[in-house]
Amino acid sequence: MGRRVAHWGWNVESFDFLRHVTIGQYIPGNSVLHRLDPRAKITVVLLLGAAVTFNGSYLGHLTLLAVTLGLVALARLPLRFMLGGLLPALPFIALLALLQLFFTGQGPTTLSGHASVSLWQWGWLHLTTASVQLTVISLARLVELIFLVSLLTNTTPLTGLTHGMEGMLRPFTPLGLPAHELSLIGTIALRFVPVLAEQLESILKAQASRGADLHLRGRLQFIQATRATIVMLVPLFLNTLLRAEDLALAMEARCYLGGKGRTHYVRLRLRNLDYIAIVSAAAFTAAALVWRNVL
Amino acid sequence: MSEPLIVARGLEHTYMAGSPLAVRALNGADLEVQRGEALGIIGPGGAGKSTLVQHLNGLLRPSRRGQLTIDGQDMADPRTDVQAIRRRIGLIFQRPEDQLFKPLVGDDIAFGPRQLGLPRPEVRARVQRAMALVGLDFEAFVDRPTLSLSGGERRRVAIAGVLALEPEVLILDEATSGLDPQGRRELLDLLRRLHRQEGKTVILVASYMEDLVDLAGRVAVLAGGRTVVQGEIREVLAQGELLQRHGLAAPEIAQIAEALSARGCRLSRTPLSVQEAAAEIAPHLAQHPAMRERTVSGLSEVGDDRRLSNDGSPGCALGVERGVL
Repeated sequence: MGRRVAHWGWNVESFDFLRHVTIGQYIPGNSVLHRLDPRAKITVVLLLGAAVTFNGSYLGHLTLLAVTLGLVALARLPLRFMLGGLLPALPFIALLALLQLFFTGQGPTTLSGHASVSLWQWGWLHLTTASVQLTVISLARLVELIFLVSLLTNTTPLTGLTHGMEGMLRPFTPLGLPAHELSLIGTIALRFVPVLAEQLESILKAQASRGADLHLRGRLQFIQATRATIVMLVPLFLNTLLRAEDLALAMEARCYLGGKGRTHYVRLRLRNLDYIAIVSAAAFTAAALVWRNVL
Repeated sequence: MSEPLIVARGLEHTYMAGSPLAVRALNGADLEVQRGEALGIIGPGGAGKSTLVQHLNGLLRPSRRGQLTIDGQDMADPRTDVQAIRRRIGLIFQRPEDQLFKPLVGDDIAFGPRQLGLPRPEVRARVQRAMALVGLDFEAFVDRPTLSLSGGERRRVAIAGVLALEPEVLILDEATSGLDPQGRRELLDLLRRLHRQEGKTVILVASYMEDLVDLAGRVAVLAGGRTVVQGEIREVLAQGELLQRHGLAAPEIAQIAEALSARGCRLSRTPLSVQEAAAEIAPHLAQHPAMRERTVSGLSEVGDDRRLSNDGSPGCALGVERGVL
């Protein structure tokens, strides 16, 4: 029987927030991507991220999208799970796309430097080849970036990420860069994503069970949604601050004194596979940058 | 018997379904709740208790398999008015002190009544009533910031927030855990009052039987997302081995009774309290003249000059109670 309660998109009634937070959630596995050295993975993501950010052509992003999807397949992560991670961002992505589509692109050239052609105009609203390209490319960029970061965190346990970041930043410590602390901050931030989702879920449930109507309907939906968001953000931030304090205490109680003199249980070593990954990502990114304006 | 208020049959629930992290929390849970009864739900950690009670409040809906009807309404039907259900069934979550979401105590408790669209004087009256029930002084606490309260006070505020909705059914998920003995006694007293005097249906979720024996008439034992047994509390308690197998334990006094039975001292029913146990054990003791003698001398030693009746049983019960046997 198809009695499933319909839920799609931003429906707070389904509450299963954790499922929608694919960033920051480690999915155990034994794929090639899982086995790569965290430093190699971070480097690859940074390189591909640069390619995504600076390439402005349709062809480039078609390729980038294909590469990202290929990596998802390589990591043996279910595509549905990855797409689920986009759901919470969907309303914002849609709004952004609409604004870009109609209010930008009045310059003489498109993103990839071709002459812009006006397609449609009505009052303030313009539709040009430049605005269409900007919209499509921005959408592709967002999706690719979310996927890339998710891929990194989905295939790398938290300790791996910390060690990786620390290892990469360590050469800069003589310049006064607090490598250990920075990597710690980054890790804690990532670790808090699912924690915040869980907290949000429990507060929303408490509100719903006491009669809050979380079904957003009617014409003033947007205002209602904003108000509801503010109401839940306040306790969320307060709880998070309290939790951060607890965390600090717990670290001090275990004699945490920062990175000085600490050694690691697992020593990271770059293997052939890691070099191959880095070199091919670098080559790909170089190509994407050189031909960033084709088509 | 009238139709049960809540009926769950073969309820299933999987968290994060369709993701690699999917966890099956309920796997065929059955539950029947009669109007006006006090029911205990017990199970080891991870048995699916919290998932089950969230279904009873419409926070989670039955999916694909399993049925849940509340007051005759099918909870799987998207047209069912969940808001109306939540107005009648109040749910107090685990660690409710972490779920206050308004800056001031009064506002947090008033959240529910305000959502009901009640007039201001009525909201105020309900807040006052709810705070009185949980033992918080209205004048002293109503304008205090929730963050300035202690954990115990925050929990009272959270409970008052649900009581202010004046629901017919009260569900408490591990409400006594982490409370000191005094706080626990006060909470259980409050529940007993609400149950006996105001006729509220009370569903109490616990991992310790001790929390249930004072209040619940029936218990349902949950393990591995499935209902293992459901019935009168005494019948369930008597199945010590079954409880043990699922990582649970009968209250110590029931365990003592079982140990006595194993040694040939059969009790006519499983005792729920020390007093009951004493009354059950006494007739056995009275059969031994030596025991009678010791009871009499022991009682006079502690200054109790009550005479033993002929069969000796009340006296022996007294002896057990006073600790002279």
